[in-house]
Amino acid sequence: MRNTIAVLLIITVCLFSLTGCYDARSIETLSYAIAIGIDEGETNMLKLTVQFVNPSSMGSNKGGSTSSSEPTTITSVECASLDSGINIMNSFISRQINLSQCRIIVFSETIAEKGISEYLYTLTDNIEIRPNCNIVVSTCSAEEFLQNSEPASETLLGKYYDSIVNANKYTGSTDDIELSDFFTAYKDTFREPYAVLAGINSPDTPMEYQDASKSTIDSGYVADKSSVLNDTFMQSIGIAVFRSDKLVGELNVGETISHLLLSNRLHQCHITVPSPFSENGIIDLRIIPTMDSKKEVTLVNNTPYITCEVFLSGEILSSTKGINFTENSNIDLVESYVDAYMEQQISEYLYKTSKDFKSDIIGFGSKVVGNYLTTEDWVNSNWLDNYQNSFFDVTVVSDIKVGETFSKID
Amino acid sequence: MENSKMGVIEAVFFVLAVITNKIILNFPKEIVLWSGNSAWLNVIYISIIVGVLAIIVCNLFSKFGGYDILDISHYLGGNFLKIALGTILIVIPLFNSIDLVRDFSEDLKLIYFNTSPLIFISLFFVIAAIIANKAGFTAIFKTCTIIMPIVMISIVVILFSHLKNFEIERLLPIFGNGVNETFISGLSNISVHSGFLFLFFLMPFLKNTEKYKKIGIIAWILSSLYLLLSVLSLLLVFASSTVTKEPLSLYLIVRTIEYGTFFQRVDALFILLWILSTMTYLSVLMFMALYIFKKIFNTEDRKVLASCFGMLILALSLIPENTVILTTIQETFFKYYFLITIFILCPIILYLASRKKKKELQNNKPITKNIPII
Repeated sequence: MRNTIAVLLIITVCLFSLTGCYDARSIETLSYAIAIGIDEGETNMLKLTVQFVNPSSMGSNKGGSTSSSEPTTITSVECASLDSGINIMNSFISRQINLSQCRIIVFSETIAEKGISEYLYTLTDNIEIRPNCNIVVSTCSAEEFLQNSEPASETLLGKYYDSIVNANKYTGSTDDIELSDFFTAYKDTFREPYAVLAGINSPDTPMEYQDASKSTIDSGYVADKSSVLNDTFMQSIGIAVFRSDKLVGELNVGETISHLLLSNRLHQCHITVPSPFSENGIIDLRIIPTMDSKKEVTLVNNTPYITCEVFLSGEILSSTKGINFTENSNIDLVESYVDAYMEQQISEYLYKTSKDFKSDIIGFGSKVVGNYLTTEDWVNSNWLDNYQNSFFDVTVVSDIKVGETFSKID
Repeated sequence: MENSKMGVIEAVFFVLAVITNKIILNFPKEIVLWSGNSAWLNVIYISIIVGVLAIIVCNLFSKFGGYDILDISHYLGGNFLKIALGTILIVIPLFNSIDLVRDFSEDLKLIYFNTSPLIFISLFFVIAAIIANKAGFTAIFKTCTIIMPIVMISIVVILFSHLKNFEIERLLPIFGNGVNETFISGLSNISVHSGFLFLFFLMPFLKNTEKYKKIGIIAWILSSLYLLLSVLSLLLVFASSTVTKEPLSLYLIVRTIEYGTFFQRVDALFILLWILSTMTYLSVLMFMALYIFKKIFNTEDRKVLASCFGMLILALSLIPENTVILTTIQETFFKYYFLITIFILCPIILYLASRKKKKELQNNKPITKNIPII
């Protein structure tokens, strides 16, 4: 009996000590950040911008109409580090900032070019920040980027940020890069990191592509230079390529599709190729990879010779008058055009990453690492530097199908 | 000793409580830190050595049915050897308990209870272990039989949730940080199999002592398999340099798990399971410490000492300024201490005792009291 009383006493004491009343953190005392923006500071090391959800605006109906309060609040501070910035913000907003709902971390191009390793370590060390929040490089300032991130077709900001990256599943215009992917690639010895490229579009940007040929226009767009003619809005198109922790270049839509094909991350996308049947004609296709791409790396006198084989199926979506796809010879002709077009696109992409950016974002190094016995030997081989000497041989094998509806247009 | 004894399944899960908690408590990370990309090779290597030792120990123990290593040391060297060996061995569950309480409490504090005093979190585990030990051995091993399978399934779920992210090239270069770090100095990683200690004390708690060998081999196979799976999953998903900076490497994997858009942030569920697992493991360790203490000092009832040991573990766990000190002690001293005592000293004593017994049988001498002829 005495033992039972003692046990009950201990449990009672525990109950009081573990309920956490004195240090409880509830939704009323926290302010949930949805996005973090990091810019170069003017008066201090950096400018930290945090976008919060305004809890009072979410689903509050007053007499049948939705509350008109702003859905988000954006606050910026100049600070020496991320943590000190959040601390400063904590001191002037009435709630404690919580980063557990943060969906994207935006770095401005300017700060990314100077190196972001310091922030990466801070972000990955922060237990509140989820490893699956997206890493975005903004062509404009991160503050401007967040201020223009107005959800048009989504009511929830968090879902909006999810959807802009998830769109790559059917557009292939960018990749879903999470903090853990980025950090792992940064720490890897056979791969370089890359991030989502995003920017703010304005109606006057399409003019930059007026001299390009029709078929290359659509694949040449990057984040802040697409042809959407709406008001100013945020857009994520392309990939920001890093070498170690520094931004070294950007990939447009076509190059991003090539990257996704080679890294086996493409779900499906649309491409436009020159028509073999008329000089100025084009053919639209939906392409889907049929199997994983094959990549082989051979070191010839320590120079990497890289062969890639890509397998895809294509469906012709649009055509022009006078083309008869009921004849196999015409389909074969389109197939050979698609193969040649994609081989050229992928080769250009590969040489761009190798010669211009000197950054192995595909991770071809993983095909060579097995040639070395120890990590020391591998690191001494300096693959990431040697990648710039690479030569590529790309083969594309496509299987083109045509929709029954428009197989023959007289 | 309680009337209730363990069957094969209970005994296997009792031994597996060690490896399961070592996996949760970041031992895979320690192995990856030491051997780099060849950590998987190191695990296979140490597991083979442990397997050979397990078979030898099981064969030697079969000659001493129903007796533990302290009884056997008493047979070999009298009270002196028994007390000396007991004193050496009691350090192992005690240090492991201290390390467990401090380490896991710190991890919980970091993840969920940032502002709570550490002592409250630690107390939570210590009180659970005290209550379990007061309830008796039956309660402990039956709890192991319930909790451990769930925790082990959860580990498999974690590993297979990342199947699509596996990159086989991350296991290369094959010798990682070097041949020495994989096979020679890497041998010190054998301490991860410190559950082997339990095999030396298991015999008196078995319903059927003839199943001892079977228990030893099943426990070894499952321990090795789990350790290999956990190391492989870390290496296949993350760069080895990424793994080494995390306080709980398994938590690193769990945080990135998402099952579609409906089941996100499942880490809370896994943490709950790990809390239960840690409580069970602490109860097992405290039981082992109390059992050895009782054997050394011939105390009548070890249950009354449970609170004292609990408070001792709590107090000692709070002494180090931070977990880095505990990790340093573990890496520089206890790793080798475990290696020498569990894998060298105990098998030698067992071997010498079996030789002594064989000689006595050959010379037709009366067998020393308490050791039956089998």
